[in-house]
Amino acid sequence: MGKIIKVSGPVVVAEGIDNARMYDVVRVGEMGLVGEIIRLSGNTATIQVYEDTSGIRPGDKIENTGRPLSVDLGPGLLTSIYDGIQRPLDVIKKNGGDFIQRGITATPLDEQKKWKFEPVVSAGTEVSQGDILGTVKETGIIEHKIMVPFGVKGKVIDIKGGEFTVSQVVCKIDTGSRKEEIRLKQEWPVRDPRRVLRKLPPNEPLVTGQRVIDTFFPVAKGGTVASPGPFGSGKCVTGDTPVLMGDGTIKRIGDIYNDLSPKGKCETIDGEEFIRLSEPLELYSFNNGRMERSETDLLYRGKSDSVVEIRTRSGRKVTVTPVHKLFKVAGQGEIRETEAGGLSEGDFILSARQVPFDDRHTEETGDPSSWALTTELAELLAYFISGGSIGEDETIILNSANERLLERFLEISLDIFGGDGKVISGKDTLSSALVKSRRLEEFLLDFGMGLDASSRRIPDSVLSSGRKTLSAFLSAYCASTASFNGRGTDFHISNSEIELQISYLLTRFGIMHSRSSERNTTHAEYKVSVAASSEFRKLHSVITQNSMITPNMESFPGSAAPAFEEAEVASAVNLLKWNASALILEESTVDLLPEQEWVFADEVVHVEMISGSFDVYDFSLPDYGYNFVGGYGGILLHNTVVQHQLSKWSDSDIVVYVGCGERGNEMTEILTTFPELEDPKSKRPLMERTVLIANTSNMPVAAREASIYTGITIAEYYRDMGYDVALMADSTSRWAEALREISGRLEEMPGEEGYPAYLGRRLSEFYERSGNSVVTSSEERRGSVTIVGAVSPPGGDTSEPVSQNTLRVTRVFWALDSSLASRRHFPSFNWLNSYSLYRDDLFKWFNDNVNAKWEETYREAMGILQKEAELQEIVQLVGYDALPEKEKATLDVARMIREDFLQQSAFDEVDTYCSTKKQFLMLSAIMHLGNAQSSYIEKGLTMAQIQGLRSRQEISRMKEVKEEDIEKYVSQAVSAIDKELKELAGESK
Amino acid sequence: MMGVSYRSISDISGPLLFVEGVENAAYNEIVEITLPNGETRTGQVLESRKGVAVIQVFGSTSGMDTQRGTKVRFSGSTARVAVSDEMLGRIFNGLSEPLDGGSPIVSSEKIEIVGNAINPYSREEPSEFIETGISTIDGSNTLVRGQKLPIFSGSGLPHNQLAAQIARQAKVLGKDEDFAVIFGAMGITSEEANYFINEFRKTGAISRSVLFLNLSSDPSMERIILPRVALTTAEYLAYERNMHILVILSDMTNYCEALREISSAREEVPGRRGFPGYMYTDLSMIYERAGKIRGRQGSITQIPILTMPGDDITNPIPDLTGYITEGQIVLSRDLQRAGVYPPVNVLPSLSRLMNQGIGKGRTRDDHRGVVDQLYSAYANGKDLRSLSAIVGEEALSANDRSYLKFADAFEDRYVRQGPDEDRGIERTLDLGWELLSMLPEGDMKRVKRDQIERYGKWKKE
Repeated sequence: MGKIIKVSGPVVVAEGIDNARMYDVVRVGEMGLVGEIIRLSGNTATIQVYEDTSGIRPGDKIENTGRPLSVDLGPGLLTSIYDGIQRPLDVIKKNGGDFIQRGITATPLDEQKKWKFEPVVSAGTEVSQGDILGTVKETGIIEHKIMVPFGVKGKVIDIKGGEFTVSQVVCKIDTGSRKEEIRLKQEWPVRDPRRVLRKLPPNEPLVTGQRVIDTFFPVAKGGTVASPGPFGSGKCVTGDTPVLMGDGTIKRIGDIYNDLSPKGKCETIDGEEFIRLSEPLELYSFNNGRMERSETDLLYRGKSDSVVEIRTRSGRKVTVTPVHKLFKVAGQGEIRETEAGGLSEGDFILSARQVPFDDRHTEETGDPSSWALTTELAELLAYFISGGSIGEDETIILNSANERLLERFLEISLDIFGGDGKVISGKDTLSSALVKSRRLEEFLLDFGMGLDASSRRIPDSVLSSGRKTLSAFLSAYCASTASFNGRGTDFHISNSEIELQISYLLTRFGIMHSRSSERNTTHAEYKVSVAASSEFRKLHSVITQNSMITPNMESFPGSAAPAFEEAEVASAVNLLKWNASALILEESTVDLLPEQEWVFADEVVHVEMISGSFDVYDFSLPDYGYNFVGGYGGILLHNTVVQHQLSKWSDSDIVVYVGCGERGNEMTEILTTFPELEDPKSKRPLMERTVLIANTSNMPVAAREASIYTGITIAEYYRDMGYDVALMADSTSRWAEALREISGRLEEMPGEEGYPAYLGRRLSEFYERSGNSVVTSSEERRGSVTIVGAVSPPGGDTSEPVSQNTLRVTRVFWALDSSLASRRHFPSFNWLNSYSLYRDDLFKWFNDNVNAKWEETYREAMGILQKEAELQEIVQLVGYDALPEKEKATLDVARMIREDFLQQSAFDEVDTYCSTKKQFLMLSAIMHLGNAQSSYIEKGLTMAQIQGLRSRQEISRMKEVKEEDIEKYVSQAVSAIDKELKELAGESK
Repeated sequence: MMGVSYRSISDISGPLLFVEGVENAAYNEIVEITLPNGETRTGQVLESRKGVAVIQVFGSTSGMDTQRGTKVRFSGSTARVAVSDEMLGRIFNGLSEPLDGGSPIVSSEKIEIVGNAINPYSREEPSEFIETGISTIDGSNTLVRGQKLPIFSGSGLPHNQLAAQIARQAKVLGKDEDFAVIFGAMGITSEEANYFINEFRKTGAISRSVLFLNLSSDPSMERIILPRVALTTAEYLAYERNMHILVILSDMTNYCEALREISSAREEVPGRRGFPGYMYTDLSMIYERAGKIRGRQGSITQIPILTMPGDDITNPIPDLTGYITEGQIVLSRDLQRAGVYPPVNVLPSLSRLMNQGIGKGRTRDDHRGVVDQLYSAYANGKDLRSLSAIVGEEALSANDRSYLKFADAFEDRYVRQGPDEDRGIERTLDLGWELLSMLPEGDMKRVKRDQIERYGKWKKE
């Protein structure tokens, strides 16, 4: 037994330790603190202690366990949460309380739990190290293989199946010299790599289903990657943006978020929140040429430092992030997603023209206030909203210039609610209807009419009712507030909220309209105008559907429809001038916007960048063309929310996550969110194939240093069973800091920036434990460990030693580019700065297994991206228009590669995983289009002509096409392109 | 080693004593040093090897000698502190010795001051709002229970007044729970110390406070131990006595400098700006003692205060602190010059846990909206202020001028408040609405329509 001779922080020096060997684990002092011998000199040993050493004194005993720092390997590792030296945090909590007590121990594996062992060999079989003796079903996903420990070779003399704990003997092997007892668990020293028979060349990719990774920067099974930390996301519209809900009501997206976020599963990544809703939310989307009801179950909130406000000719308005996409109508009627920041005045964007009713709207919607909403009640509400007030003594007053309307109001009120009432004619002022009825007052109060006129709004129960009720409402409202003039009908509304509701209401009837407002110091008036004759006719037909109101219509000049029509014919251009979109529709007719039944092109009249700090929100609607109807007046809002989680990758069997030196509250977040994630392949909890190792910044520094070795040893163990394992270390920078601190305590000569001189060696040794290998066994078995190490250099400066040493040994570098992220290009890998040295090795696999032209296609595509970077510089000097057509074509293809291939949505059910076959087909289709374009350009076509081709749109839709249909889709798209190009060339000749 | 005394000091170097012939002093063991003139001081073993113990003296080494006149007595135990409920209302030095003339704390509970790390598995995410009565904190950078939110100050800025005010006024809305303040002062002047004591006495806040004071004239080494003593007391009151504890540590810069002093006296390899390489771990062991634990009533919230040397936020002290804490409150010299108290610059300040603590049922439903709106309007106003310095105020539009006026009023009415003014959160938010009403109602994009109706102060059309 040794004695301590010196104590200084976590470093202890002792002498006289029996059989002291480097890296033996020792127990220090009476408390039995865990330490490790890190230096030997004669009879003295230097020990780094994994726990606080207060109270340890010279003369205290040191016991050598005789073993190096080891981990227990066996069933039960998966789903566990360990600290840096494999103490299970949940068991420590149970046994030692909420603080991690010094000297506390807990067995890494549950010693009580019984596992069902099924032997695969029988007595008498000759076995040697690494051979599989039997299996244990560890979790629903993973079968744990019990292997012959290293250094054991001989004949099985006894083996039995059944229920065993990890420490019970399940098998005996006669090695000739002795009888070896085999248990379900075995130990392994963490600093020793588990040997393999031989390493295979990295010839098989770890298929991630992410296009930018698999095609451009692939990682081989058993490879190493440096990645700068976790990353997120996409952001969209500001919180006050109205959204048209599936039931017809209008809600602010910020309110939706506030209402629903407590009910959904929330995941926070870098301050951006993703809410997975338990029940989907219904919205409207424009998809496949028609407006339809859509569903989303993913809500997003993040931050943006600037937003763009867009206003259109028809008075619609929306505020979005600059990278948020809107649907721009290009010259030839082609619809192209364009970033809001890139729009300019005079562009046309798609707005919603009509939103369908659907049968699920029942005529009499149940309402919380128990009033069944009949057409009469809707009509009554409309009158009241436009100019009614609740007076004292249960008296309801409605003012209007139109006495017929007042009489109608009186009639319905008394009919339904009873009471007294009369109409008082005003001479110079408005006439009024007075109704004294308690029940009417109650009814109005129930529908929120107690507020004064400026803050009233149309109740949700009206908006969510059916066509008949709505048309009754609209006609009554029209009768109360609309004026008619030579140009059409204007609704005069005193309150912007109702104006918005009316605007959406008209959209649902497919009536095109424009919005405007006038403001003076005391008063604001909002106007919704229906002007084009066709639209007016629609409005008229809606209004006259309701027979009760029809008589009222006679009193309005607008009902003299024929006269109006004449006037309109006479000055059609004038009439439509204010509404450029209508003009476009009539001029361009069907081929420009075949979808015109549902949308129209709206001219952008105002684009303004606003900077500041904004909360921004979005939905994910992958199945519905990535858009929803929202904004002040229906505009189609495109969205893309992307989030990547390395651990969700599809192609690795086991994930080991090492959290190294994080903040306590951050780790708590990981520990609470990880267990809720689902494995995308098996739909079982992701934890069933995950091991978590957590060592926060205030836990002992030496244990932080050990944590990545603990992690890699567990990873190697599963590799030996024949699994493909991915190890995530976050972050190796904090690990290196621990190394630096211990080195300082040892008074070693510091190297660069105070890191020890052996930093590079330690990093490369760690990464060298990755690999695609034939594991030790008498049968040929292959497994791999892939290491993804996150580096978090201070200030993002990668010239510091940890980043530099990491880059020297890792063979893949995914350079994240924050400017791409802020432009909402996800995943935000910079394609020029990232690299993969496996690419050339993996070409053969891709050529053999996917398509013989893989390598060729890749090289072509990469060439174009590089060319694009050069051309961009020229464009900045001379402008786009000055480029030759050929170069314009190159830029065009590069844009397609970026937008239609590299960008990928993690939340789209189809796009989240893209098979290598689909990747190839997509890229080759883009390259085919590119080549065809260039050859026709040589024949004299211009890019402007080519860009009008409709078949080009098919390319951008490839992402959404399901795996099974993609082959057919691409071949059709390619032949359509060829055909159109040929026709175009023929015409121009 | 209990009770053994040595007179064999071989070297004295700065705050360190090297005692020879000591066989087995424990690491971090507490020693008592008796000077030739009979004075006693306390020290702690920094390094112990067979034959030599290196002792860090809490106090100056003046008057000590190597001629066997000075006696070192090893206590046999590491630094422990007696804790009890009776500590409330008392004033101690860094070693937990009474400064108020009262009797020392006697308790069977003596706890090691080096706390153990909270098991990450046991932590609970912080979410309860603490009202400090200061608009710039409650409104704009809300503090929640279990958070560690430092104040980044500069020399000459009134961080101590601010700290005293927080200590006096902190409470949790709508709950009548045991709430106590532990104040750890490191290296502050006696005037400031008197100010604290008087303030606390005057308002009666002292009855629910424990003060640990280390004056600038007091031994700098005590500053190393003081935050640990304070936090150990805090942990006892929080987790054993179910109290909600607010720990204010001022000033962490002095702590770090003491750390540097020892490191250089021990001739360790210096890191950035001479601070030791282990400062990150050392600070994390202080800051990470804030938190909440699942299934336990109490909590510890920390407000460490640090003065940035030369107002330089890239100095290792604020830099490493920012890595560990959850946000920061930044004081501004410009506001101070303009005579605004408290000079909190809301723009670079941040509370990462704010969202968990505010909103309906916690503060008020309009909290987020009003604060966002104030923030953006103030940012806009400040931009315009620099613009108007160039082009003149006349060149701005009427709307822009209203923002300019808003920014002035914001500083004057929202940021500024009396050192004794306890402004409730309701009042803070209403004040926010009043200020917003200087701006056109149509510009209110961050607040909800119905909130404008309920809380807005615009004159109705």
